[in-house]
Amino acid sequence: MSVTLKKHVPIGIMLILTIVLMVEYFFVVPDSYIVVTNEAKSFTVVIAAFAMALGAFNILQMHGKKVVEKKSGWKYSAWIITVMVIFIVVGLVGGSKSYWFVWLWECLLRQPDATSYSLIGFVAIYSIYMAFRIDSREILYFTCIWVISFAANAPIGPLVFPWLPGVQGWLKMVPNSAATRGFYIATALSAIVIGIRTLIGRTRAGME
Amino acid sequence: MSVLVEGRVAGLAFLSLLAFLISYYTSQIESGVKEKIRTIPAMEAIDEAIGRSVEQGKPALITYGYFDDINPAIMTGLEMVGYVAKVAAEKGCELIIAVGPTRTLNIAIENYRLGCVEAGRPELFNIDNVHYLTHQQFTYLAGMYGLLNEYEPGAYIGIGWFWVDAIHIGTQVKRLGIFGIGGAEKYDAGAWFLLTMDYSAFGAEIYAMGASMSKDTTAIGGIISTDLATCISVAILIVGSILAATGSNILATLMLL
Repeated sequence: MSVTLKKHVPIGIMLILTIVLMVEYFFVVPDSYIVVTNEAKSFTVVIAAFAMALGAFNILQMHGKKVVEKKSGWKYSAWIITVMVIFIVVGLVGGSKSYWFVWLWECLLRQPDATSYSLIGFVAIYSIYMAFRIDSREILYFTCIWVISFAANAPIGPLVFPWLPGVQGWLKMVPNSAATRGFYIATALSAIVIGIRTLIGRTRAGME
Repeated sequence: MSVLVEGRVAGLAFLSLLAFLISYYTSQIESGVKEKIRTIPAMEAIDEAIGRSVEQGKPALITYGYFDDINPAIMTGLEMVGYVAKVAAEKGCELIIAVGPTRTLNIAIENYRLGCVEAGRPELFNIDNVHYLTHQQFTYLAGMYGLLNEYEPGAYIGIGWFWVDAIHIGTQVKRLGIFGIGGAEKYDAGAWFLLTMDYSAFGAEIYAMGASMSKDTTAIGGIISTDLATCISVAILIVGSILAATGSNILATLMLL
Protein backbone atom coordinates (compact mmCIF):
# COMPACT_ATOMS: atom_id res chain seq x y z
CA MET A 1 0.00 0.00 0.00
CA SER A 2 1.37 3.43 -0.90
CA VAL A 3 2.37 5.90 1.82
CA THR A 4 -0.28 8.33 0.55
CA LEU A 5 -3.06 5.80 1.04
CA LYS A 6 -1.73 4.38 4.28
CA LYS A 7 -0.72 7.58 6.02
CA HIS A 8 -1.63 10.83 4.27
CA VAL A 9 -5.28 10.08 3.42
CA PRO A 10 -6.25 9.00 6.99
CA ILE A 11 -4.41 12.00 8.48
CA GLY A 12 -6.18 14.30 6.02
CA ILE A 13 -9.60 12.86 6.93
CA MET A 14 -8.78 13.10 10.65
CA LEU A 15 -7.60 16.72 10.31
CA ILE A 16 -10.69 17.84 8.38
CA LEU A 17 -13.08 16.12 10.80
CA THR A 18 -11.29 17.54 13.84
CA ILE A 19 -11.48 21.08 12.43
CA VAL A 20 -15.16 20.59 11.59
CA LEU A 21 -15.93 19.36 15.14
CA MET A 22 -13.81 22.06 16.79
CA VAL A 23 -15.59 24.78 14.84
CA GLU A 24 -18.91 23.46 16.19
CA TYR A 25 -17.55 23.43 19.77
CA PHE A 26 -16.05 26.92 19.80
CA PHE A 27 -18.11 28.90 17.29
CA VAL A 28 -21.79 29.70 16.90
CA VAL A 29 -22.86 27.70 13.83
CA PRO A 30 -26.14 27.25 11.92
CA ASP A 31 -28.35 24.21 12.58
CA SER A 32 -27.49 22.68 9.19
CA TYR A 33 -23.83 22.55 10.29
CA ILE A 34 -24.82 20.73 13.51
CA VAL A 35 -26.63 18.11 11.41
CA VAL A 36 -23.33 17.47 9.57
CA THR A 37 -21.30 17.21 12.80
CA ASN A 38 -23.86 14.85 14.38
CA GLU A 39 -23.58 12.65 11.32
CA ALA A 40 -19.78 12.70 11.65
CA LYS A 41 -20.02 11.76 15.33
CA SER A 42 -22.31 8.80 14.57
CA PHE A 43 -19.63 7.50 12.22
CA THR A 44 -17.35 6.91 15.23
CA VAL A 45 -19.72 4.10 16.31
CA VAL A 46 -19.50 2.52 12.86
CA ILE A 47 -15.69 2.81 12.76
CA ALA A 48 -15.41 1.42 16.30
CA ALA A 49 -17.54 -1.56 15.23
CA PHE A 50 -15.20 -2.14 12.29
CA ALA A 51 -12.16 -1.98 14.57
CA MET A 52 -13.84 -4.44 16.93
CA ALA A 53 -14.62 -6.79 14.03
CA LEU A 54 -11.02 -6.53 12.85
CA GLY A 55 -9.82 -7.39 16.36
CA ALA A 56 -12.21 -10.37 16.53
CA PHE A 57 -11.01 -11.58 13.13
CA ASN A 58 -7.42 -11.31 14.29
CA ILE A 59 -8.16 -13.33 17.44
CA LEU A 60 -9.78 -15.99 15.28
CA GLN A 61 -6.78 -16.04 12.95
CA MET A 62 -4.17 -16.17 15.75
CA HIS A 63 -5.90 -18.79 17.85
CA GLY A 64 -7.27 -20.75 14.87
CA LYS A 65 -3.71 -21.21 13.62
CA LYS A 66 -2.65 -22.46 17.05
CA VAL A 67 -5.49 -25.01 17.09
CA VAL A 68 -4.84 -26.23 13.54
CA GLU A 69 -1.09 -26.60 14.15
CA LYS A 70 -1.69 -28.10 17.64
CA LYS A 71 0.84 -25.71 19.21
CA SER A 72 1.36 -25.65 22.96
CA GLY A 73 -1.72 -24.34 24.76
CA TRP A 74 -3.96 -25.03 21.76
CA LYS A 75 -6.74 -26.19 24.06
CA TYR A 76 -6.97 -22.69 25.56
CA SER A 77 -7.09 -21.27 22.04
CA ALA A 78 -9.90 -23.67 21.16
CA TRP A 79 -11.74 -22.58 24.31
CA ILE A 80 -11.46 -18.84 23.49
CA ILE A 81 -12.80 -19.49 19.98
CA THR A 82 -15.66 -21.62 21.36
CA VAL A 83 -16.69 -18.98 23.90
CA MET A 84 -16.40 -16.20 21.32
CA VAL A 85 -18.59 -18.11 18.86
CA ILE A 86 -21.17 -18.93 21.56
CA PHE A 87 -21.41 -15.26 22.60
CA ILE A 88 -21.67 -14.07 18.97
CA VAL A 89 -24.33 -16.67 18.02
CA VAL A 90 -26.43 -16.14 21.15
CA GLY A 91 -26.12 -12.36 20.80
CA LEU A 92 -27.05 -12.37 17.12
CA VAL A 93 -29.96 -14.81 17.47
CA GLY A 94 -31.63 -13.50 20.62
CA GLY A 95 -30.14 -10.03 21.00
CA SER A 96 -28.19 -8.62 23.91
CA LYS A 97 -31.31 -8.51 26.14
CA SER A 98 -32.29 -12.17 25.61
CA TYR A 99 -32.42 -14.58 28.57
CA TRP A 100 -29.49 -16.70 27.39
CA PHE A 101 -27.23 -13.77 26.56
CA VAL A 102 -27.93 -12.16 29.94
CA TRP A 103 -27.42 -15.56 31.62
CA LEU A 104 -24.03 -16.02 29.90
CA TRP A 105 -23.01 -12.51 30.83
CA GLU A 106 -24.20 -12.64 34.42
CA CYS A 107 -23.14 -16.21 35.27
CA LEU A 108 -19.96 -16.62 33.26
CA LEU A 109 -18.52 -13.13 33.40
CA ARG A 110 -20.05 -11.00 36.11
CA GLN A 111 -19.60 -13.44 39.02
CA PRO A 112 -15.89 -14.19 38.60
CA ASP A 113 -15.41 -10.47 37.91
CA ALA A 114 -17.08 -9.53 41.20
CA THR A 115 -15.10 -12.23 43.04
CA SER A 116 -11.81 -10.84 41.72
CA TYR A 117 -12.87 -7.31 42.66
CA SER A 118 -13.70 -8.35 46.20
CA LEU A 119 -10.19 -9.76 46.61
CA ILE A 120 -8.67 -6.29 46.32
CA GLY A 121 -8.67 -5.72 50.07
CA PHE A 122 -6.63 -8.88 50.71
CA VAL A 123 -4.30 -8.25 47.78
CA ALA A 124 -3.74 -4.68 48.95
CA ILE A 125 -2.79 -5.82 52.46
CA TYR A 126 -0.52 -8.50 50.99
CA SER A 127 1.07 -5.96 48.71
CA ILE A 128 1.58 -3.49 51.54
CA TYR A 129 3.12 -6.23 53.69
CA MET A 130 5.52 -7.21 50.90
CA ALA A 131 6.28 -3.92 49.27
CA PHE A 132 5.92 -1.26 51.94
CA ARG A 133 9.59 -0.80 52.62
CA ILE A 134 10.17 2.81 53.59
CA ASP A 135 13.14 3.37 51.32
CA SER A 136 12.26 6.75 49.89
CA ARG A 137 10.81 10.04 51.05
CA GLU A 138 7.70 9.50 48.90
CA ILE A 139 6.94 6.16 50.59
CA LEU A 140 7.49 7.81 54.01
CA TYR A 141 4.89 10.52 53.24
CA PHE A 142 2.62 7.84 51.81
CA THR A 143 2.95 5.74 54.97
CA CYS A 144 2.32 8.65 57.36
CA ILE A 145 -0.84 9.71 55.51
CA TRP A 146 -1.99 6.10 55.22
CA VAL A 147 -1.54 5.58 59.00
CA ILE A 148 -3.50 8.79 59.78
CA SER A 149 -6.32 7.88 57.36
CA PHE A 150 -6.44 4.29 58.59
CA ALA A 151 -6.57 5.36 62.24
CA ALA A 152 -9.18 8.05 61.56
CA ASN A 153 -11.45 5.59 59.74
CA ALA A 154 -11.12 2.85 62.36
CA PRO A 155 -13.85 3.19 65.04
CA ILE A 156 -11.31 3.26 67.86
CA GLY A 157 -9.15 6.02 66.27
CA PRO A 158 -11.37 9.05 66.95
CA LEU A 159 -12.18 7.71 70.45
CA VAL A 160 -8.51 7.67 71.44
CA PHE A 161 -7.46 10.74 69.41
CA PRO A 162 -10.49 13.02 68.88
CA TRP A 163 -8.45 15.36 66.63
CA LEU A 164 -7.72 12.60 64.07
CA PRO A 165 -10.80 13.05 61.80
CA GLY A 166 -10.04 16.78 61.58
CA VAL A 167 -6.45 16.12 60.49
CA GLN A 168 -7.61 13.51 58.00
CA GLY A 169 -10.25 15.87 56.61
CA TRP A 170 -7.71 18.67 56.24
CA LEU A 171 -5.24 16.34 54.48
CA LYS A 172 -7.98 15.23 52.12
CA MET A 173 -9.46 18.62 51.36
CA VAL A 174 -6.38 20.86 51.25
CA PRO A 175 -3.05 19.24 50.20
CA ASN A 176 -4.73 16.29 48.46
CA SER A 177 -7.16 18.47 46.48
CA ALA A 178 -4.40 20.89 45.50
CA ALA A 179 -2.08 18.10 44.35
CA THR A 180 -4.89 16.34 42.51
CA ARG A 181 -5.78 19.53 40.61
CA GLY A 182 -2.15 20.04 39.63
CA PHE A 183 -1.99 16.41 38.55
CA TYR A 184 -5.13 16.70 36.42
CA ILE A 185 -4.00 19.97 34.80
CA ALA A 186 -0.64 18.48 33.77
CA THR A 187 -2.25 15.21 32.61
CA ALA A 188 -4.95 16.99 30.61
CA LEU A 189 -2.39 19.27 28.93
CA SER A 190 -0.23 16.27 28.02
CA ALA A 191 -3.28 14.50 26.61
CA ILE A 192 -4.03 17.54 24.43
CA VAL A 193 -0.44 17.50 23.16
CA ILE A 194 -0.78 13.78 22.30
CA GLY A 195 -3.97 14.67 20.44
CA ILE A 196 -2.21 17.41 18.47
CA ARG A 197 0.68 15.05 17.64
CA THR A 198 -1.76 12.38 16.45
CA LEU A 199 -3.59 14.95 14.37
CA ILE A 200 -0.45 15.76 12.43
CA GLY A 201 0.53 12.09 12.17
CA ARG A 202 3.51 12.18 14.50
CA THR A 203 2.56 9.34 16.87
CA ARG A 204 3.46 5.76 16.28
CA ALA A 205 0.14 4.56 17.67
CA GLY A 206 -1.57 6.47 14.91
CA MET A 207 -0.77 5.28 11.47
CA GLU A 208 2.67 4.03 10.77
CA MET B 1 -24.52 38.40 17.77
CA SER B 2 -21.42 36.70 19.14
CA VAL B 3 -19.32 34.55 16.82
CA LEU B 4 -17.85 32.49 19.65
CA VAL B 5 -19.81 30.23 21.98
CA GLU B 6 -20.18 31.86 25.40
CA GLY B 7 -17.95 30.32 28.07
CA ARG B 8 -15.49 28.78 25.58
CA VAL B 9 -13.40 31.83 24.61
CA ALA B 10 -10.75 31.22 27.27
CA GLY B 11 -10.55 27.54 26.24
CA LEU B 12 -9.99 28.48 22.60
CA ALA B 13 -7.36 31.04 23.59
CA PHE B 14 -5.53 28.47 25.73
CA LEU B 15 -5.69 25.80 23.03
CA SER B 16 -4.35 28.28 20.46
CA LEU B 17 -1.54 29.22 22.82
CA LEU B 18 -0.64 25.54 23.30
CA ALA B 19 -0.66 24.92 19.54
CA PHE B 20 1.53 28.00 19.02
CA LEU B 21 4.01 26.85 21.70
CA ILE B 22 4.26 23.36 20.15
CA SER B 23 4.83 24.75 16.68
CA TYR B 24 7.36 27.32 17.99
CA TYR B 25 9.45 24.81 19.96
CA THR B 26 9.24 22.18 17.22
CA SER B 27 10.56 24.64 14.64
CA GLN B 28 13.29 25.72 17.10
CA ILE B 29 14.41 22.10 17.53
CA GLU B 30 14.21 21.43 13.80
CA SER B 31 16.42 24.46 13.13
CA GLY B 32 19.09 22.95 15.38
CA VAL B 33 18.49 24.64 18.74
CA LYS B 34 19.30 22.14 21.50
CA GLU B 35 16.52 21.91 24.05
CA LYS B 36 17.20 19.98 27.22
CA ILE B 37 14.30 17.89 28.48
CA ARG B 38 14.01 16.25 31.86
CA THR B 39 14.80 12.55 32.11
CA ILE B 40 12.32 10.13 33.63
CA PRO B 41 13.90 7.32 35.70
CA ALA B 42 11.26 4.79 34.58
CA MET B 43 12.16 5.53 30.97
CA GLU B 44 15.88 5.18 31.60
CA ALA B 45 15.23 1.85 33.36
CA ILE B 46 13.80 0.13 30.26
CA ASP B 47 17.28 -0.68 28.91
CA GLU B 48 18.26 -2.06 32.32
CA ALA B 49 15.09 -4.17 32.47
CA ILE B 50 15.68 -5.72 29.05
CA GLY B 51 19.38 -6.24 29.81
CA ARG B 52 18.45 -8.02 33.03
CA SER B 53 16.07 -10.32 31.16
CA VAL B 54 18.80 -11.21 28.66
CA GLU B 55 21.26 -11.98 31.47
CA GLN B 56 18.71 -14.27 33.13
CA GLY B 57 17.79 -15.91 29.84
CA LYS B 58 14.16 -15.00 30.37
CA PRO B 59 11.71 -13.08 28.20
CA ALA B 60 10.41 -9.59 29.00
CA LEU B 61 6.70 -8.93 29.23
CA ILE B 62 4.95 -5.74 28.14
CA THR B 63 1.33 -4.68 28.42
CA TYR B 64 -0.56 -1.40 28.04
CA GLY B 65 -3.69 -2.11 30.08
CA TYR B 66 -7.17 -3.33 29.35
CA PHE B 67 -9.28 -0.33 28.38
CA ASP B 68 -10.85 -0.77 24.96
CA ASP B 69 -10.52 2.74 23.65
CA ILE B 70 -7.98 4.77 21.76
CA ASN B 71 -7.22 7.31 24.48
CA PRO B 72 -3.88 9.08 25.14
CA ALA B 73 -2.79 6.51 27.77
CA ILE B 74 -3.43 3.57 25.45
CA MET B 75 -1.68 5.39 22.60
CA THR B 76 1.35 5.99 24.81
CA GLY B 77 1.32 2.29 25.73
CA LEU B 78 1.22 1.36 22.05
CA GLU B 79 4.18 3.65 21.34
CA MET B 80 5.95 1.94 24.20
CA VAL B 81 5.31 -1.49 22.64
CA GLY B 82 7.20 -0.38 19.52
CA TYR B 83 10.05 1.11 21.52
CA VAL B 84 10.45 -1.87 23.86
CA ALA B 85 10.22 -4.27 20.90
CA LYS B 86 13.10 -2.39 19.28
CA VAL B 87 15.25 -2.41 22.43
CA ALA B 88 14.46 -6.10 23.05
CA ALA B 89 15.28 -7.05 19.45
CA GLU B 90 18.58 -5.13 19.58
CA LYS B 91 19.57 -7.05 22.70
CA GLY B 92 18.19 -10.37 21.43
CA CYS B 93 15.53 -10.61 24.14
CA GLU B 94 12.28 -12.46 23.59
CA LEU B 95 9.32 -10.15 24.13
CA ILE B 96 5.88 -11.26 25.31
CA ILE B 97 3.07 -8.83 24.61
CA ALA B 98 -0.16 -8.96 26.61
CA VAL B 99 -2.97 -7.12 24.85
CA GLY B 100 -6.21 -6.19 26.58
CA PRO B 101 -8.10 -3.92 24.18
CA THR B 102 -9.55 -5.66 21.12
CA ARG B 103 -9.57 -2.56 18.93
CA THR B 104 -5.86 -1.92 19.26
CA LEU B 105 -4.70 -5.53 18.89
CA ASN B 106 -3.61 -4.96 15.29
CA ILE B 107 -1.73 -1.75 16.12
CA ALA B 108 0.14 -3.57 18.90
CA ILE B 109 1.12 -6.41 16.54
CA GLU B 110 2.24 -3.91 13.88
CA ASN B 111 4.26 -1.84 16.37
CA TYR B 112 5.93 -5.02 17.67
CA ARG B 113 6.81 -6.05 14.10
CA LEU B 114 8.09 -2.56 13.24
CA GLY B 115 10.22 -2.47 16.40
CA CYS B 116 11.92 -5.74 15.36
CA VAL B 117 12.41 -4.44 11.80
CA GLU B 118 13.88 -1.14 13.04
CA ALA B 119 16.36 -3.07 15.19
CA GLY B 120 17.45 -5.01 12.10
CA ARG B 121 16.12 -8.29 13.54
CA PRO B 122 12.82 -8.96 11.74
CA GLU B 123 13.23 -12.70 12.38
CA LEU B 124 12.61 -12.05 16.10
CA PHE B 125 9.00 -11.08 15.40
CA ASN B 126 6.86 -13.96 16.61
CA ILE B 127 3.09 -13.65 16.46
CA ASP B 128 2.74 -16.42 19.06
CA ASN B 129 4.26 -14.03 21.61
CA VAL B 130 1.26 -11.72 21.30
CA HIS B 131 -1.40 -12.78 23.81
CA TYR B 132 -4.88 -11.36 23.57
CA LEU B 133 -6.51 -11.22 27.01
CA THR B 134 -9.79 -9.24 26.49
CA HIS B 135 -10.79 -5.80 27.64
CA GLN B 136 -12.86 -7.13 30.58
CA GLN B 137 -10.86 -5.83 33.52
CA PHE B 138 -10.70 -8.94 35.70
CA THR B 139 -10.59 -11.40 32.83
CA TYR B 140 -7.59 -9.41 31.60
CA LEU B 141 -6.19 -9.62 35.10
CA ALA B 142 -6.64 -13.41 35.21
CA GLY B 143 -4.75 -13.59 31.91
CA MET B 144 -1.96 -11.44 33.32
CA TYR B 145 -1.68 -13.74 36.36
CA GLY B 146 -1.39 -16.67 33.97
CA LEU B 147 1.25 -15.08 31.76
CA LEU B 148 3.36 -13.86 34.68
CA ASN B 149 3.35 -17.29 36.30
CA GLU B 150 3.80 -19.22 33.06
CA TYR B 151 6.72 -17.26 31.65
CA GLU B 152 8.19 -15.80 34.88
CA PRO B 153 9.69 -13.00 32.80
CA GLY B 154 12.87 -11.20 33.74
CA ALA B 155 11.15 -7.84 33.37
CA TYR B 156 7.62 -6.53 33.41
CA ILE B 157 6.83 -3.24 31.66
CA GLY B 158 3.28 -2.01 32.05
CA ILE B 159 2.58 1.46 30.73
CA GLY B 160 -0.89 2.61 29.72
CA TRP B 161 -4.37 2.40 31.19
CA PHE B 162 -4.67 0.59 34.54
CA TRP B 163 -6.93 0.84 37.53
CA VAL B 164 -7.24 -1.52 40.49
CA ASP B 165 -5.66 -4.23 38.35
CA ALA B 166 -2.40 -2.35 38.99
CA ILE B 167 -2.27 -3.60 42.60
CA HIS B 168 -2.96 -7.21 41.58
CA ILE B 169 -0.35 -7.19 38.80
CA GLY B 170 2.14 -5.33 40.98
CA THR B 171 1.78 -7.87 43.77
CA GLN B 172 2.37 -10.78 41.41
CA VAL B 173 5.39 -9.02 39.90
CA LYS B 174 6.81 -8.45 43.37
CA ARG B 175 6.03 -12.01 44.53
CA LEU B 176 7.80 -13.54 41.53
CA GLY B 177 10.83 -11.26 41.94
CA ILE B 178 10.39 -9.69 38.51
CA PHE B 179 12.02 -6.35 37.69
CA GLY B 180 8.99 -4.08 37.30
CA ILE B 181 8.36 -0.80 35.52
CA GLY B 182 4.84 0.57 35.85
CA GLY B 183 3.21 3.65 34.42
CA ALA B 184 -0.43 4.67 34.64
CA GLU B 185 -2.44 7.71 33.71
CA LYS B 186 -4.71 7.47 36.73
CA TYR B 187 -3.08 8.59 39.96
CA ASP B 188 -4.58 5.82 42.12
CA ALA B 189 -3.13 3.15 39.80
CA GLY B 190 0.12 5.13 39.79
CA ALA B 191 0.19 4.94 43.59
CA TRP B 192 -0.09 1.13 43.45
CA PHE B 193 2.73 1.01 40.94
CA LEU B 194 4.78 3.29 43.18
CA LEU B 195 4.33 0.70 45.94
CA THR B 196 5.04 -2.44 43.99
CA MET B 197 7.32 -1.62 41.06
CA ASP B 198 11.02 -0.91 40.90
CA TYR B 199 10.35 2.16 38.75
CA SER B 200 7.08 3.94 38.30
CA ALA B 201 5.61 6.91 36.47
CA PHE B 202 2.15 8.38 36.48
CA GLY B 203 0.00 11.08 34.97
CA ALA B 204 1.78 13.47 32.63
CA GLU B 205 5.03 11.52 33.13
CA ILE B 206 3.86 8.59 31.01
CA TYR B 207 3.09 10.95 28.13
CA ALA B 208 6.51 12.52 28.49
CA MET B 209 7.99 8.99 28.45
CA GLY B 210 6.17 8.14 25.23
CA ALA B 211 7.27 11.39 23.66
CA SER B 212 10.90 11.34 24.75
CA MET B 213 11.50 7.80 23.50
CA SER B 214 10.09 8.64 20.08
CA LYS B 215 12.82 11.33 19.65
CA ASP B 216 10.36 13.10 17.39
CA THR B 217 10.80 16.89 17.22
CA THR B 218 7.06 17.48 17.74
CA ALA B 219 7.15 15.21 20.78
CA ILE B 220 10.02 17.11 22.39
CA GLY B 221 8.37 20.41 21.48
CA GLY B 222 5.22 19.00 23.06
CA ILE B 223 6.95 18.17 26.35
CA ILE B 224 8.40 21.70 26.62
CA SER B 225 5.04 23.25 25.70
CA THR B 226 3.19 21.10 28.25
CA ASP B 227 5.58 22.16 31.00
CA LEU B 228 5.21 25.83 30.05
CA ALA B 229 1.43 25.57 29.81
CA THR B 230 1.35 23.86 33.23
CA CYS B 231 3.36 26.77 34.69
CA ILE B 232 0.93 29.25 33.09
CA SER B 233 -2.05 27.31 34.52
CA VAL B 234 -0.51 27.26 38.00
CA ALA B 235 0.22 31.01 37.73
CA ILE B 236 -3.42 31.64 36.74
CA LEU B 237 -4.55 29.55 39.75
CA ILE B 238 -2.32 31.49 42.16
CA VAL B 239 -3.24 34.93 40.77
CA GLY B 240 -6.91 33.91 40.71
CA SER B 241 -6.78 32.76 44.33
CA ILE B 242 -5.13 36.03 45.45
CA LEU B 243 -7.62 38.13 43.49
CA ALA B 244 -10.55 36.12 44.85
CA ALA B 245 -9.19 36.57 48.39
CA THR B 246 -9.06 40.35 47.85
CA GLY B 247 -12.64 40.37 46.62
CA SER B 248 -11.95 40.76 42.89
CA ASN B 249 -13.50 38.33 40.42
CA ILE B 250 -11.96 39.82 37.27
CA LEU B 251 -9.98 36.66 36.41
CA ALA B 252 -12.95 34.39 37.00
CA THR B 253 -15.03 36.61 34.69
CA LEU B 254 -12.31 36.47 32.03
CA MET B 255 -12.09 32.68 32.25
CA LEU B 256 -15.87 32.37 31.87
CA LEU B 257 -16.05 34.61 28.79
